Amino acid sequence: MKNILLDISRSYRADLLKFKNSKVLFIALGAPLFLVALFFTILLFRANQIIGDADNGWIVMLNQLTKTGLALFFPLFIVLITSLISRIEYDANAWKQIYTLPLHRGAIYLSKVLMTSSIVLLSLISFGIFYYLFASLLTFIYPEMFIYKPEVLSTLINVLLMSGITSIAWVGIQFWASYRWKNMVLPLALGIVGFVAGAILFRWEHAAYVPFTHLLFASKALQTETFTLMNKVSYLSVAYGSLFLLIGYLELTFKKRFS
Amino acid sequence: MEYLIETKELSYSYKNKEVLNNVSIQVPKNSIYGFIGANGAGKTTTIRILLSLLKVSQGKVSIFGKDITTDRINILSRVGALIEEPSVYQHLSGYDNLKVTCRYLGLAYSRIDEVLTITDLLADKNRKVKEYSLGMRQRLSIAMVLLNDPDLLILDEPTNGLDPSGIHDMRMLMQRLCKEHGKTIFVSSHLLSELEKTVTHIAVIHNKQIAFQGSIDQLQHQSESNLIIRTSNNKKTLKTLVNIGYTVFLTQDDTLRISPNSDSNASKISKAVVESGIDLYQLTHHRDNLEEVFMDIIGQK
Repeated sequence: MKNILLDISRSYRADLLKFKNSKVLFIALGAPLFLVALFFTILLFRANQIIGDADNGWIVMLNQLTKTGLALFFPLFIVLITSLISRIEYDANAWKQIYTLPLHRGAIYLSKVLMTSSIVLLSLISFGIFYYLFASLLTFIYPEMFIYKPEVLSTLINVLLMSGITSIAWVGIQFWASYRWKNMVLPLALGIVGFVAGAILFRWEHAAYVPFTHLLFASKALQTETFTLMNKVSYLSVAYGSLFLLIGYLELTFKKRFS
Repeated sequence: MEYLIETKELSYSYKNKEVLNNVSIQVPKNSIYGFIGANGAGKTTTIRILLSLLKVSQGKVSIFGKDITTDRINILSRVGALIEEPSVYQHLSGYDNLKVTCRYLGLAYSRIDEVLTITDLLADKNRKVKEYSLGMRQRLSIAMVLLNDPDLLILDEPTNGLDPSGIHDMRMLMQRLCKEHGKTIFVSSHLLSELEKTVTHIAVIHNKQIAFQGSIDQLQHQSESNLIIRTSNNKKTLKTLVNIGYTVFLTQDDTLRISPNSDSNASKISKAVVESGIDLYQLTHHRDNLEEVFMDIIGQK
């Protein structure tokens, strides 16, 4: 057990270094920055029309970001980022070299899972930080419309937690696909098809069982005054994500060729 | 004699196609063991099995006396491997590529400059690998292999992409690692002329099987020594010599090859040719080089 933990730690540190000069960190930080900056720009010129009679510009801005970000932006971001992370090894033809290292293969796999999760988490946290920065800027420009209240922080934390939990299914499926197939097009195609299928099936009574709808449910739930963080969709998302990660691990265990 | 690598009756099939059949090799400690075969003969498949990248379907593989299927991590901690083309991260510098390997293996970074010096890449260590030539990438891969100071190096076509001076340097490096540092090196190649100058032992794989295995001296003894002659009328010369009991072949480069080779035969043959009224242009002793021996071996198989 101690050896496996050591192997995971070593693999994780090695994977971290591979992001230097790569597009992964750029997109992980650039995507949330782009989204928030875009809304900042819209609000800068259209604050009156968008905020209107609403109580607080901070909450309105967060709701708008959540509606568009969770429903549209975040799923496609996950599809792209998981593909880019696995591409690092495929482009370097490095898998054959990694699998000849004296490391537990499961540790290598788990390290990749942790690294992918870390990048998604980094993006979420960055989103929160950028939101705070740009909303603070708007507070200086429109002090009458943007009034900071303590509930802003708790709302933001709920948004980040809800996004994180309901994205687990997406992350699990896309990670499995990008890890399994050397061809980058296949996981991207799966993600896009899943995204469209999720949008179409969202109104179906059993839509919660379709993992590609989970972020849509989260987006909808966050628009309401009261919601439960761990609801049916959240549990299903964790279940689907865990299932696909387990499938990936079992495929690795029973694999006969490593290349 | 201690063998670092032993395979026993190793067979492997992929998608119902047999790739290896009953391959048994023994790699002595402190040797440079050449593994030669044509493309598709099974060299890379054998190497992948040795490194546990392919699961053994039939037979046994032991390295350092341990079974690779049950002791993979312990074995690989003493092995450095280079498989086919270099596995390098092009967006990172040479130094960072080696740092990645150090992190995987839990090694101190202090070793990096040492292996870069051995592979003559110290001056270029901070350049991104995408700016490296193919030869430099190959050398960087060798540097990665040397990082954990392995007892056994398994190199699959390590001279691919190297120019003649690079091939020479690689040969010198392998010999130095074996003689001065006590390493055992298992190297596959199809560059027979280079292996001949480098290896102490050799195995020839042909048509999924081992056609020859032994020391270089044993292989040389298999080579034939012939007389090569060229005359003004090779066809008439051939008839003349066959009539007096010699085994003669007409070669593609329009010379006659006669065995066995000996000084007394050379004398009798030259006399027979001249007395037949044929002009003798060339009479030389010839011993097959490794390539010719290799062709004979696979031709026999």
